[in-house]
Amino acid sequence: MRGSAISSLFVFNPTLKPLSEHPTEDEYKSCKLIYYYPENAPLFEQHTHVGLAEGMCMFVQQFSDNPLESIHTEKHTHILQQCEPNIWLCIVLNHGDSPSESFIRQQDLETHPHVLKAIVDNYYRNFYLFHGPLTNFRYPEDFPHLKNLLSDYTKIFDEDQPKRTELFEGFAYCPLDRKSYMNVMYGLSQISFTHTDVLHTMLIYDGYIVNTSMPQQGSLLVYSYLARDKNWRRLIDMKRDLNPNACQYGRIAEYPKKGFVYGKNSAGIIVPTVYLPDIPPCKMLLWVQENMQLVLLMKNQEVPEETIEVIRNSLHELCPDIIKTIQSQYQRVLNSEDSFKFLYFNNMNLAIKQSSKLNPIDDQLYRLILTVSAQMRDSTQKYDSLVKTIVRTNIAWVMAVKVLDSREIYFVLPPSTAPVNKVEEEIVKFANGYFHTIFTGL
Amino acid sequence: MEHTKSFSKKKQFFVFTSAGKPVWTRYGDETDLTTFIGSVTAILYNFQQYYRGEQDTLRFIKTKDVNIVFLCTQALYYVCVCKNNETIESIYQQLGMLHSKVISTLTNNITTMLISRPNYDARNLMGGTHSSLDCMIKTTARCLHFIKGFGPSRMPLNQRNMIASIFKNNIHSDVVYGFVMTTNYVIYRYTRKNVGLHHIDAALLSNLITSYISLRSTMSWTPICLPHFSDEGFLYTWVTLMQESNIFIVLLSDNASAFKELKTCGNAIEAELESMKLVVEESIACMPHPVYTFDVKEVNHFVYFSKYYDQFVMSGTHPANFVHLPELPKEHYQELMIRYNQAHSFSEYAEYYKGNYTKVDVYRNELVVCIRNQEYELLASMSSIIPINTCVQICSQLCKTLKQEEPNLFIPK
Repeated sequence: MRGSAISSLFVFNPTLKPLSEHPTEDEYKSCKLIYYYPENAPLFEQHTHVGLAEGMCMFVQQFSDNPLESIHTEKHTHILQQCEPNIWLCIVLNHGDSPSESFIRQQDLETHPHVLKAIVDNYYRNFYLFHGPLTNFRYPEDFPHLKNLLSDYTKIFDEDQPKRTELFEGFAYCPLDRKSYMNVMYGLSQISFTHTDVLHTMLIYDGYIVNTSMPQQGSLLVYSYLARDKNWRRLIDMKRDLNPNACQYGRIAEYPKKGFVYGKNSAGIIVPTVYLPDIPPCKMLLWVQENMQLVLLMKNQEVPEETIEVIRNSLHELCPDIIKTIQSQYQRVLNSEDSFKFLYFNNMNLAIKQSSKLNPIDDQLYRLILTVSAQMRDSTQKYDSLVKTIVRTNIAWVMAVKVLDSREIYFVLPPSTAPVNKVEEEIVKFANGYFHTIFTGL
Repeated sequence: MEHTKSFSKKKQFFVFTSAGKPVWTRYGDETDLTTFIGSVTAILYNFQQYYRGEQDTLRFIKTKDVNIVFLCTQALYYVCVCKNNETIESIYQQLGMLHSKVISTLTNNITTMLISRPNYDARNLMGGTHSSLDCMIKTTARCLHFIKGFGPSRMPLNQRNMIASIFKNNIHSDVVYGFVMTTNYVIYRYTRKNVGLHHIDAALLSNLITSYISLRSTMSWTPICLPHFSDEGFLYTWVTLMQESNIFIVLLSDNASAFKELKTCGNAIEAELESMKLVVEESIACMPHPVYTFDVKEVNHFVYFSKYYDQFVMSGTHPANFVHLPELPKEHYQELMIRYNQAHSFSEYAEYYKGNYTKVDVYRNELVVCIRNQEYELLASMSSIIPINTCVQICSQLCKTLKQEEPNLFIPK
């Protein structure tokens, strides 16, 4: 969600009890609170907010068996989610002061349920990626360390959150023809075949995913961290030192022209443990060469230096061919400009395709497409689903199509006084050419 | 406990003071809900002061299947817990109308009183209003929140002009507003020079006529506050029901002592209207409008709002009337309202609407169009198999028909 900073963020477990023999009321309140941001908030305020969040969860139980999702005020949106058994995360977004006579507010265009859920999920999953579940931290001995990790992580999250520009969480797939793809697969399978310690691989080229053997959710997490929206550049700019005791999110070595980012490099041996859904915790190696990023998830909990060196030698040998195969195709597609502004998203394989003309998306258009998408998602849960919509506003024409309930395509045209049928005709003409392999129903 | 029964209702309303004193609840007894209301008041207060030095206001809370919407005025708070699929804006409008009804009953003096005496128990002041509040909620829930007008009955212009002449010939200077109306429809309205009629005030008056059966049995003189005329005091309403008919003549005056004058005026109007009674009843009998009367076959339903008249026309049903023609079953109307809201929603944001807006939503079983410009707003429902270019032509034809028909559809200014 663009533009909205975090006012506060806290993690709490209402079941925790103080350990002292005769705890005070403040001790009862303090022990529930695992972490609060900003840390300089008055203690009284921190306790009140946790108590209020707990109270609100109980309040809505009188009316619904479903948990509380969000609380909307004029200036803030509070998102609450139980991320693990007995552990709740609350994020309060600040929308600033935008007085309005009517009930609606501009933030309503961005605070759709799935967007709010994505913010909380994003926070939790990226912490989980490097540190695993919060329940792994024992109370009370591990809690000071947990607090430090969350403190370190949350500051980065707060800086990063408003800069996130993408509309959908998914993969930008690298444009490869079948033959090239098979050649790349051959190269990757050589790596897996030679090094049986390698559990999974993921190949990314210039931010586009080429192939992954991980389950979808794990792939999405790793891809989001390393590649989506050119995130590796943001990670490099963070310049976080390689402190093994701090939160590992964003702590990467410099990207060499060729070599390991996670593995053995000039900074030493850095091989983080990553926690991914549906995969046991494993070590992650990251090899970069020119525009390529190759992720290797290792089976074993320890990856000795010798193993890293053996893998390095293999990659020296195999990667040039892989890169050459991808590069020529990629350059050809990159240099071609799309004639239309469009955005494609597939809910099944999470593929995203954004036309070159639609980059970047300004804030007004972002909110428009986001809300159209929310309307399309919302309708499948309730009544007969919305399959197509065309809207003229003073900033743009947007036409959205939902195909077979899994694919969404958004077309954008500049504002005009043309009648809606003419606009549709123009879009259909383009779509029938460009998306000829997909049944769009247009 | 009693209050748990009321919590299981699909849509529950609570009205209470800023001090946590219950004033009204749609279901259950306010007394049983004192603890609950106290907790809600505390929640509202905590969110108002969530961050020290910053004032904020709670708007709504969401779970997957429940929306809880809040309206905080100076001294009175309104909360709705809604488990059906109504939009937040629609629920908020219902809360707004509840507040208008409270002010209509008590004037804004209630606000002044509650500010100076926060612990005052206002429950008794709202005694006897339960059915009218409930009726107001039901009617408002059937309205589209963005249509800021009222829906009169259809009548040929020359006949409405005849009613206008009757009023002109017999009106007294003390009359601020005059109406010929039924419990559901306004047939004619008169306003004193330089006085406008706000659609909320029209709705409050309609609610008064609908809710109080006693007004139908005999000529009545009753106070009502119309907040958009003035929320500080009452207007005095002379109401009579024409003999053997469901047509009311309603005159409102700002002069509390004008009963005799209004009675004379009203009786004269009634006498002259007697000759037109059949014509008036005919105009009511043809409501709600079947869609085919507008000569556009492909349209299943429409709502048309004229910005010049500040009035709307709807086919198949009318928000004030719970009758549904076979072409528009009640369940489909509820779904359609949500779809109309969705089609209209972007135009409610200043960044997307600058006087020209169109949206076409195609569902599997329906096509919904919203056209909004500086002259009118049109929402229409058609079959989803109609191509967009045909849909455009249909809408264009419908707008043309409605524009031509406007003098007969709406009460002239």
